[in-house]
Amino acid sequence: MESTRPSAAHERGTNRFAAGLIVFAMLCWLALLPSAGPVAESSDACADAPVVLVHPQVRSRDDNVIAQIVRGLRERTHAAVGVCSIEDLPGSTLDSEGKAVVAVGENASAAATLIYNRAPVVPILVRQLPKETGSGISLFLDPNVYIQQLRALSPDVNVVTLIHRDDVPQSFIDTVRAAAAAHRLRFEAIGVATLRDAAVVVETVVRQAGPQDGIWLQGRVIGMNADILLPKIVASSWDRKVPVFTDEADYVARGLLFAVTHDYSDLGRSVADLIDSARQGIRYANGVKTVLNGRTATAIGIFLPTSQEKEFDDVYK
Amino acid sequence: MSTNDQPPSTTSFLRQLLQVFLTLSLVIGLVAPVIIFLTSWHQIRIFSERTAQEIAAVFAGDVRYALLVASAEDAQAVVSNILKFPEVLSAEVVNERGERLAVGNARDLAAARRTFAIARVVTAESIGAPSALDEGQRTQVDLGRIRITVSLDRAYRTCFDAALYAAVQIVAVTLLLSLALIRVSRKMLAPLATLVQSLRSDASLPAVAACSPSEVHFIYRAIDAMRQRIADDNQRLVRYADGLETMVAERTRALEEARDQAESANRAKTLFLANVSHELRTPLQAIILHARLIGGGTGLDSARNSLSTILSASSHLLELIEQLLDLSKAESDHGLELSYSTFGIRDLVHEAASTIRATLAPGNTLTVHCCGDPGAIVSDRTRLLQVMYNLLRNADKFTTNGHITLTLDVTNDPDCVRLTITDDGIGIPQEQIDRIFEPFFQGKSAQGTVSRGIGIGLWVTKTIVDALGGRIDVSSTPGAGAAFRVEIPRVPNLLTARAAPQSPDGEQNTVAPGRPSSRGIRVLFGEDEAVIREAMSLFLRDAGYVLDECADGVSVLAMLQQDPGGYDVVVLDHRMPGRTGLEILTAMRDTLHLETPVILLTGNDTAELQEETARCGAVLIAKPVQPERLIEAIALAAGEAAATLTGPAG
Repeated sequence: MESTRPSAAHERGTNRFAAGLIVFAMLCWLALLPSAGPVAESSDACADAPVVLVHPQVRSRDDNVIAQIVRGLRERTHAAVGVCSIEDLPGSTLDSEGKAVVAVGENASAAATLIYNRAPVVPILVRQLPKETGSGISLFLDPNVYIQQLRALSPDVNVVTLIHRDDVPQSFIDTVRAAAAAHRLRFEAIGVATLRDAAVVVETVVRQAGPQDGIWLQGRVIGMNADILLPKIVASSWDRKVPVFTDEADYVARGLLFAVTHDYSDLGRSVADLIDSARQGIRYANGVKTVLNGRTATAIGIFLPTSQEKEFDDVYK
Repeated sequence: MSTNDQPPSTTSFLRQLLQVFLTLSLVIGLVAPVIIFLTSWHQIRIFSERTAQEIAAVFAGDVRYALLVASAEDAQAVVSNILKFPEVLSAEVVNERGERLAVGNARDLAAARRTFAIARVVTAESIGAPSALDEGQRTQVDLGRIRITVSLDRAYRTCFDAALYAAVQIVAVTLLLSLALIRVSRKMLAPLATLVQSLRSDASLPAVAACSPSEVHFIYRAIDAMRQRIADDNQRLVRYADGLETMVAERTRALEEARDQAESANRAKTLFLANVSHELRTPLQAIILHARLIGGGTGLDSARNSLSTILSASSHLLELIEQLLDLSKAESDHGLELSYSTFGIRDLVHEAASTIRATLAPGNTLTVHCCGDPGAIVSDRTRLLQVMYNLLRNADKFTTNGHITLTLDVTNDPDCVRLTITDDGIGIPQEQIDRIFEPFFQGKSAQGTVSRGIGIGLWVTKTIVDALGGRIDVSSTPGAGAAFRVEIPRVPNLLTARAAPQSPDGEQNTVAPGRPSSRGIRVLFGEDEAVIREAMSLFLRDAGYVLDECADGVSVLAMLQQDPGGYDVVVLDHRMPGRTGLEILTAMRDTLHLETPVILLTGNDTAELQEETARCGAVLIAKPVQPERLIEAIALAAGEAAATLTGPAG
């Protein structure tokens, strides 16, 4: 028996060899991992990949958004994803037979449809489906999620006012209205076209609102000039204890109560499912992320238990 | 102080210093504040404008929302905040159409005198993005303007105050500096003023204050030392002046004496000429008269008497002429020519006495006393005989019916003999004793008349005695006679003898310039033939040699024994009485151990003589010899001897 039993020294040597192999394998795996940074592949990769993601020129802070979408696509399609900005696209049509093209936004969708004319283009984050496209994912999230979140934080709210850009489809407004009604909330939608309109509306609405009024301020409205609008909105919100929520996490960080935003990795996976799906029409994304500003919540009289705070993906203290 | 002592400027240094500093402080106090004011005013205007711009920029951001929503309340709040800045006089917010939205004025707006206004456009950036991810399109929205009026009064006052304070400080500092400088200058100048006051008097310098600058101490010490030097110099000058006066007085006295002497000499010469004329004319008169008597055919006795008289007058003329010749020789460069020989002094004394005795004045007698026999001496027989003649004739001249004594004796010095000539004549007044040996001096007779003669007899006598190395003196009792004492060395003392000859003017015989190189060479010349010796001596003296002549060999040897180193060259005739030239040469080399060059002259040039002469290192020259050759031989021998003495390096 003793002769067949390995010695302790031999066991230690075997363990060291195994640990070395594991470390080597991990290094190789890490080397083969795709870059997690912003996608900036060449136009050739953009053209040759079986799945192509076409996106507009995005703000630098949103580079990570494109990367998350691509990661979701890869996870679900198990295929190489060519990422192209609109500027990277060639001037003429490409051989797109057998390719799947995903376009972010209306401009990218139009450009992709033009270039990849023989491939199906799936638009995402669009206000409504462009023509000649079968299916896509909306820019907007399901309004029920917002209403439910508002209800959860401010049960006393009885009015919801949506301040949106005037290019929002009426269908979405109707959906919101329906969602509000489902929660027995009165609903009002105000569209704005210019910065001055936005400021006047904000001045009018927020200064007249109270704790029972929930204000849904679209990010694209604040984004007209967040430096001007946001301080006043936050100040009025705090003064009048008005819950103001939005669809941009950054604005929550700067003082709004909460935001419901896309989970862009899930968005990638969803659009991957949509590529091979026979479904038609635009649909809301399934995955969302919720962000809460704890200090604003406290300022306007909302005191959340820890368990409820943990339901948010991010909480700014 | 005279008007010339007035300084050109009547303003003191301290006053001028104060004026300069006051002017300087005034100019700097005016100019510097103006510069400070203008500079600070310019800077503060720029700074105020920039500050106003920055305030406007800050509040332009704040007022954007008010302009967007046309909120006069918010705009007014912004205006109120702007007005909180102390220098802002008014603020105004207008919308993009120019309509005033809010305005505010400070309370002191009306009182403001210096203002400036700025206006800043208020814009906002509007971003229109189609989606949340799109970069979006950025447009600038004109919202309106914000106008701010700022007061510069406080800045102006600040600048003015700064300039004023600077002026005050500069003036104060300048004045302080001037006071300090004046104080320091006073420390320097006050002691100097005191010093100047002290220098105007002879008082000693006052003490310097210890706190005075070191330069003042230096100046005081230097001036004190300078005054001391001046005082010393003054004392020295006084002493010099006193000494000068004394010197001038002495010189004046000496000049007066010289003048008196010159006048006296002039008178003496005049008298001498008159005497010479008289002394020449008188015998000539006698000769002429008696010659005519003879020519007139007088009797034999009368003719004899006339011839005797002519002879006597001729002798007197001869004596006179000889005295004149001696005078001329004594005054010449050569001095008296002496020819040494060996002779018996006793015989000479008797010879002189017998000669003079025949010519004595009637009534006078002469007695000779010889105290023993001094033997032979080496001297110039003729000159010594002349000395005795002169003294005896002089005694005869001033003695009437008296007695004259010539005494020969030896002195305490065995190397000398003494001759004493005494008489019982009129004697010599005491005041004339010191002058009787002066040339041209003539004593007065007992009757108060000037004596006969030309007045050089005693002077010639003394000159000869001095040349022979002797001395002469005189003693007299007026009315009782006189005694002349002459001491003659047995062998001439050459040092004394050579230094003695003097001209009648009292000047020592000196060598005239331009002579050949033989000048000053001392030569002893021994030759018994007078015709040769005298003629050759003239040539040698003309060549510049200092010559002593000897007429016999004994004299030569005596001269060499007396002064062995006294001659540079010895020239000897071989055949001389007493000692031959070769004997003298042998004695020089073997007995006297003298290496003096010797030139032997001979008329018998035998081989034996040549051999002996060569053995003794002498030069043998056969007679007859030309004077030039002998002169050259003497110079050559003297030069070789000098070269031998000085050695090769000489």
